[in-house]
Amino acid sequence: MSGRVHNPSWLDSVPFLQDGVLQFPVSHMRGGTSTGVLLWGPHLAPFGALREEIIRKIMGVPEAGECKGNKQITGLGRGPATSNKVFIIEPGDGLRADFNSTLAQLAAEKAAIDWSVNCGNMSAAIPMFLLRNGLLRAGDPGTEVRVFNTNTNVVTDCRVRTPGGVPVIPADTEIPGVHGRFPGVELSLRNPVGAKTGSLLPTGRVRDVFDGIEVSCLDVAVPMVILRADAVGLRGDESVASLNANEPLRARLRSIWVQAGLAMQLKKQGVPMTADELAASETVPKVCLVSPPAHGGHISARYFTPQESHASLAVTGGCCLAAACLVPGTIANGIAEGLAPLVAHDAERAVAMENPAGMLRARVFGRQVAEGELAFPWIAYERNAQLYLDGFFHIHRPSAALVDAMRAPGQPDPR
Amino acid sequence: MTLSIPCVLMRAGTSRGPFFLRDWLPASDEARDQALIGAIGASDPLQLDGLGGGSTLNSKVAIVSRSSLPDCDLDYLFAQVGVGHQSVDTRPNCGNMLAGVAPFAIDQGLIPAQDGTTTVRIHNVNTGARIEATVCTPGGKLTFEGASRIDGVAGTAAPVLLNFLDAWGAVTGHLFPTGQRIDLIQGVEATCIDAAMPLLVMRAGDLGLSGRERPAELDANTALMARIEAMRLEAGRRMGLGDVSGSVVPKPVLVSAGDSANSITSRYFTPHKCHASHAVTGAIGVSTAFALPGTVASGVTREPGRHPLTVLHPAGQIDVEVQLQGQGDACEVVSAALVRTARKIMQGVLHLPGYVFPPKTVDGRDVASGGTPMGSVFLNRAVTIIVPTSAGGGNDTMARALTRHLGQRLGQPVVVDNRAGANGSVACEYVAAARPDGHNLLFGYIATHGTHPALQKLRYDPVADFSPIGLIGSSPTLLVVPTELPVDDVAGLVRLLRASTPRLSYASAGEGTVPHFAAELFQLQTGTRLGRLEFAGAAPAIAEVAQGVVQLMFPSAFTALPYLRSGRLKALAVAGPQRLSFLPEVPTLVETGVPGVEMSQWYALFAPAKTPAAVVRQLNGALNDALRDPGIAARMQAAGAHIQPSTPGELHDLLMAESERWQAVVLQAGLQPQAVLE
Repeated sequence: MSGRVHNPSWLDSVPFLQDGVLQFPVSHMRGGTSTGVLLWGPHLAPFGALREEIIRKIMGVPEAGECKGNKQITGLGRGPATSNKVFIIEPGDGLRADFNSTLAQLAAEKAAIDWSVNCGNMSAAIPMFLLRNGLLRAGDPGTEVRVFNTNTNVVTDCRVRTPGGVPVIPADTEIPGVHGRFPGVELSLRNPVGAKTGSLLPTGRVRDVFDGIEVSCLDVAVPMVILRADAVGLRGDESVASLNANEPLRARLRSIWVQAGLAMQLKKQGVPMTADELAASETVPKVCLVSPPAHGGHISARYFTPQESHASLAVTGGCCLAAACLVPGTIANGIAEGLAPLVAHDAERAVAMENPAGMLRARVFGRQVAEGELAFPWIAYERNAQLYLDGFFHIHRPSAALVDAMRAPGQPDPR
Repeated sequence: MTLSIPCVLMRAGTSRGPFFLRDWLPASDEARDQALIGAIGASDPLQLDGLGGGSTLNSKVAIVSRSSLPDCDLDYLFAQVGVGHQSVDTRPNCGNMLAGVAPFAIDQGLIPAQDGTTTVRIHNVNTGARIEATVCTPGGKLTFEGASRIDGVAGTAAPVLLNFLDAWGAVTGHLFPTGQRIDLIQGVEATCIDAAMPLLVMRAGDLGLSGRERPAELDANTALMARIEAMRLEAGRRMGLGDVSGSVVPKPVLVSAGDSANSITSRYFTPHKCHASHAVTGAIGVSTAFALPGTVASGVTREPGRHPLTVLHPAGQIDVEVQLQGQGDACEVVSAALVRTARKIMQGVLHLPGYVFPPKTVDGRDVASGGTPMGSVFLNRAVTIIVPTSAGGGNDTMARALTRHLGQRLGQPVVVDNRAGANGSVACEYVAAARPDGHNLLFGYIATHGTHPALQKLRYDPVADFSPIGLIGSSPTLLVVPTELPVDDVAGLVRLLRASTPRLSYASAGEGTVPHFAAELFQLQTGTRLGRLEFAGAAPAIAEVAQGVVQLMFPSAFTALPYLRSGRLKALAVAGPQRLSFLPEVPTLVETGVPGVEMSQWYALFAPAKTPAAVVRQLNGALNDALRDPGIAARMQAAGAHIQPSTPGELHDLLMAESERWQAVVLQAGLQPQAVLE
């Protein structure tokens, strides 16, 4: 017995103005290794484009332009991109998904909000948010909820255990990079292939050569360029700090991902990205250096966002790498050890990927449709989630437009 | 699973951190520190499991309470929580978080706000210092809006003035320890002043400097540094500080003109290196020397009253509000208050990670249940089970059913002691305070360890004050009415409730009990209003329903079954997920169209916190053995309860889940102890 429920008490917690301060209901949460805030869409909807102002103030980023050295002490953000996620959750259409999620990706020093990406880590916070606020009825022994991400048009199936139909997920799951055991969430990306480009191999080939280096370009949940660590003179077990300090390496990778991005015909708001845009891109394509496993996994990875080396392996990137390991002929497939190939019927392959924070495990469901053609109906991974603090965020000095929107007819009365 | 506590997040000065009233945190220092470790997520360098931002700057906590000192209003305890290690340090002080203390206390109703400004006297528990904080409260209302700007914070906000009361002559006993406002030290005019920090103030121009030099430039000027040090040594002697060659005071300061009549430029030495910005304490001395006539730093002649002055330093500025009284030579500084700002960012409920309050004695997973040898090496006299409700009720019956079997397995007599009162608090406090040796146990249940603690603050902590022994079982909740009430189903009851004037009433078995909670949720879900009659336990409550004095109740099946069998009550619904085998014709509330009232009562045994693991293990083994006895199981099931043995760890997990669940229910349903008393 699971599904959406209507809970009047949460919906009653509407934003309100008090003494010039706009108080906004928020859940300050962690999903996997990402942190940020979950907002209830219907609370934001009446504000239209003004929602950006609300989101900026809640996270403590600059109101406009850039502010170097901003420490976000006025909001709930905490520096790195992985701790600057705002998820807007709203009811879904009921057919495709139970709920929609929309990610606002912020940066500590910038006012600009990136609306083009999803976050596989932060998504882990969604089921707990829904259950806790009475928006989702708990089933027994578990609850499943389908979430459609409007940024990437990808559906994520979230499964949690709710024994006894109690809307509390047992705190029994540990993940690399987070101390302690917390409520576990299994997330599966449905039909993740071609999320950005429409095809598994956007260049049409399992391998391409850029700057004399062999790479594989795949698009599973996120477009990614995969190359051997030793092809750029690395062992593959380097620390994140040493990779980030290696300027020549980053310049070399940039040249490769720009060419790969052009070959994959990556688009931004429907328009093909230029070489300059790709060179400055903070999001796509991802870059992954792979090497043979050394700690009992199937493959070892160093992952770039692409400008920076990631402290672990982002889950969307992890899903792409896991699928790549199962695509014959790719660089990842050539390096991975101990994985059985896919067959003509749906089969599960658990892929363990070593990364700087530990091991990321993904369950890949796939089959060989025809010679050289693969289908990946879904890929699942496990995260845990945590609610830090829920209550009303105090938005000081809301703009006049925001105050007007609060007072517009049809708005809930300020309490 | 988490423990949830109120929390206010504030930006105070250039820090951000949680503010707590002392009462929001566990009472003992040890448990309080554990809560702070969980709040911030101290265990991990990235602090992903808490509110900290992976830096010491965002790992600061302020704890505020009414002052224990007669001349202060508030006690402020600052705690620096570890980054990457589970530590809480209350030795340091933080002037940034200090700026948030008075606004927080006024906002939380600890201090009434005056019209205009409100001045609060704060006792800093870490250092013993007393600080007067003045906060803007126009019209008797706290505001965070204003025109004050501080370094490191974008925009402006209301000023918080911090006046350090112990600053004047703190070290030497005199504001001007040499007895004069200007001394000639090695041919250079200087002012020796002791306000917050002993200073040797010199004019930059007198040393051939502009006063606007960068710190590195000054540090590189070895001739200058040697000259300043020689002057400092002599100033130390004249100030009565003796030989200061091995001391860091007095601090040399070079002053020069500011960019307005109310600002002064300063270079502050620590003392052998120029400060990259400026010490806050040093700014108080500099602005005092600036405000008063007759010093090397004196500015324009000022009238009595408040003067906003600014100390310009290499990295920005520090604002100080100086209050003067008297004219000319009689002019005195009454106070020199730092101008800081603070803002409330969020008010809400903080959820602590489960690991900060693990089971006190054993880690559930390695508890062996059963197989315990007869007799006990730990227990040497009768074991008492304290029951929190009156004799004859469901709890009492269940406890008494266990005594003989438990006694056989423990090799000691087991007796029941009923200590009803204050909705179970009397019994809980009694056991929490008992010697943790296994001789005093609590028969705890959902009300004492789930619902009631969620409803209001109690003098015991259901998790921290007990060692969980194990679950006994659970009993579903029923909706019952007197047989003669003219309704046959829930729909009929709802119609009757809506039509009746005066209102019909329900029986509560005490504040925070399941019969109370379930009835409140039922009203919320059905939009009905009921009166509430309070009884000291389920036994007297259900007896009154059976008499027809009260019209409905949500008792446990255990309590209700005898009355259902005798035909004096009828059950309209099960407030649980499924129908019951012994009442197959009674539908669930959900089936009747009323969701959200699912409550099953559970029962468990607890020992006081810190009971040794071996004793807990033995008690758990004996309990689970007793529960496996076919006689017990049959007796319980016949009475409408399910046997449900567990490990101590599983019981602990249940407590954590229950704490979260009932706090959420209280929050969502808006239950309040005083509101329901009407």
